[in-house]
Amino acid sequence: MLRSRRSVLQAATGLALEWAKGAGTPLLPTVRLGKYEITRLIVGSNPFNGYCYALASLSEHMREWSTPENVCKVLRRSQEAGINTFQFSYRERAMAELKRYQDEGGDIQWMLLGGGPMKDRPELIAQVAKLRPVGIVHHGGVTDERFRNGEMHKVEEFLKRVRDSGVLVGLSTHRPEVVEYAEEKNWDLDYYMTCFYQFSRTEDELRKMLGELPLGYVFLEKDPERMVRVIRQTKRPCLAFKILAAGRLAETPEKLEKAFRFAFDNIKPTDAVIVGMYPRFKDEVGENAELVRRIAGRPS
Amino acid sequence: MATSRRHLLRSAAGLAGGLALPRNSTAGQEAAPGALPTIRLGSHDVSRLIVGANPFGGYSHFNKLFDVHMREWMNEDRVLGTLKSCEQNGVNTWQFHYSPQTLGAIRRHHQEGGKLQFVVLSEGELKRNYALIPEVARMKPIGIVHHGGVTDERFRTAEMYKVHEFLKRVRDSGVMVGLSMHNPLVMEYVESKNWDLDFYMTCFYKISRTPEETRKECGGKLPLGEVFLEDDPENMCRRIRQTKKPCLAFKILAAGRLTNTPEEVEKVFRFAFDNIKPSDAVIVGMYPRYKDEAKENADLTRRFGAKPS
Repeated sequence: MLRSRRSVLQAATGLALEWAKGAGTPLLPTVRLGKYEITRLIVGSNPFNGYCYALASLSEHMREWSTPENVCKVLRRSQEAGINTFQFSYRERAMAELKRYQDEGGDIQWMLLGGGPMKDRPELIAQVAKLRPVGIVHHGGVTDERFRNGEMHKVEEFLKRVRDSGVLVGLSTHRPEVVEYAEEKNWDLDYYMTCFYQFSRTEDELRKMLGELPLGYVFLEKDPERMVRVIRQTKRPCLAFKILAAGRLAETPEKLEKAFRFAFDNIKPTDAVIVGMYPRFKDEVGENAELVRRIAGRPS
Repeated sequence: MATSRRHLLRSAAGLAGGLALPRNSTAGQEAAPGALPTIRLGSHDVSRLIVGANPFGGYSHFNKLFDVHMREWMNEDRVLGTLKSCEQNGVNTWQFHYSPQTLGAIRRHHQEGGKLQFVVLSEGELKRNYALIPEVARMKPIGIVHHGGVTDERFRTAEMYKVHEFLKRVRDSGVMVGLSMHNPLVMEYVESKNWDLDFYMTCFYKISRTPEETRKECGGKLPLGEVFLEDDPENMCRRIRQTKKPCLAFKILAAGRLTNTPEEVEKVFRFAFDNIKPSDAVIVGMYPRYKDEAKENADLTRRFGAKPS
């Protein structure tokens, strides 16, 4: 599934002339993933599940707001703003929301993270592949755990099943070493999902590293620099996620812009970012799309 | 205003009854249903659980998004409802920062028959305009407290004389004098100078570190957002036990970071009451949007804050 240099360059400058369906807004800059044109901003799904990576009460707020109606509204707004791909984790509820959106006429592309029950029921892979996602990705938290436990053969087994299913094969991780490992072994996969922050460190790992334990999810300032280094080293496309540190870098418009700018300055022209959106109080979808159009749209 | 050891021990075993007991109930009285243990602060019996005000003002100490959620939900009726719920669960004191909203809320609480005592923190205009101190004092708070964030900043910039000046003005106003801080070293300084004050407000977490100070403590690494370090509460508790003055410990739940499970919350309350003095209390901000936090916190205080000293 590796592409030629020419196609890489084509995709990098992929200011696709296609327009977002029915909205009059041009698509955002795109990259190529297999046969798909993917906008460089992909809408994520963690807020829909209440995964705020912070406080229990904030998670409750997110879950309360993320009704099927509101999830569909976010997807519709995403397409209006020029985004053409949705990334989410496998769950019955999420699949139902996608179907509802499609039934309402939405035609967003989607890629699936093999979380939830898919982690333990690999037979679901073939079943879901029939619904034509762009790809199926091994879950990052599970990848990191398997890496820690020396069980990467289980990850590889999952990826083989995805390959057999006919959709693109993705591997997600929060650890740069995992990308290095998979590259060194030359695993048969098409793209990575790469978290800017290694928040899968255990408490003991953090204590050892910092000499102190910060409470809650720990997002270290310099983690992105480590991840973008390996992102640039692999020729495979990378979809960088948590570029806003689960909202910690979205406190002001200036910080938000800085985070997007850092991301697009440091990933490859063939890479994209995934950003979860929770437009409860403001048009995050429009804001993020505008930033990507401005920052990532320039020729590489 | 320093209290004797005998008095400390007596107050440690005291139980206040929220709505059920008169304000000046004395230690050792039979507990009414819903009663909470109390401490003595000057002439006041103060429940060992004091309701804070940060969630009322949208100060989540996490991010702006959660601030907005809090502000949206916490209209004045809900603030009043939360105070009432606290009172019904045995809490008899509210600690809040000075603002038109909080002053309005305490007035309305009293007009509607509420009996909460209150402690005022020098936020907003009160932080800048000392002439307001006598005006606030006329509302008969238990005390007025110098703001912790400002205290830490003055300490960092060697301007503690400004803090001292504020405290003198509070003393002159006739109400009790309090000093809030997040940095344990402030207490060491103040104790060594034997400042004239009645009680401390002591944050369990030193959240006033600058990014540079945090990097220095964390092996050169900087965690993003407000940083709450695991070992901070032990450092502050050591100071709390060293002073004879009452301390009102706050942010014991690390601004919600330690509320993921009931077991976690219980562990925090147990730690707090095991490590502060019997003459001390805790201040906890409450945001009962999804559960009855007033009851949960009061139950835990009853369990862990009532031990014989």
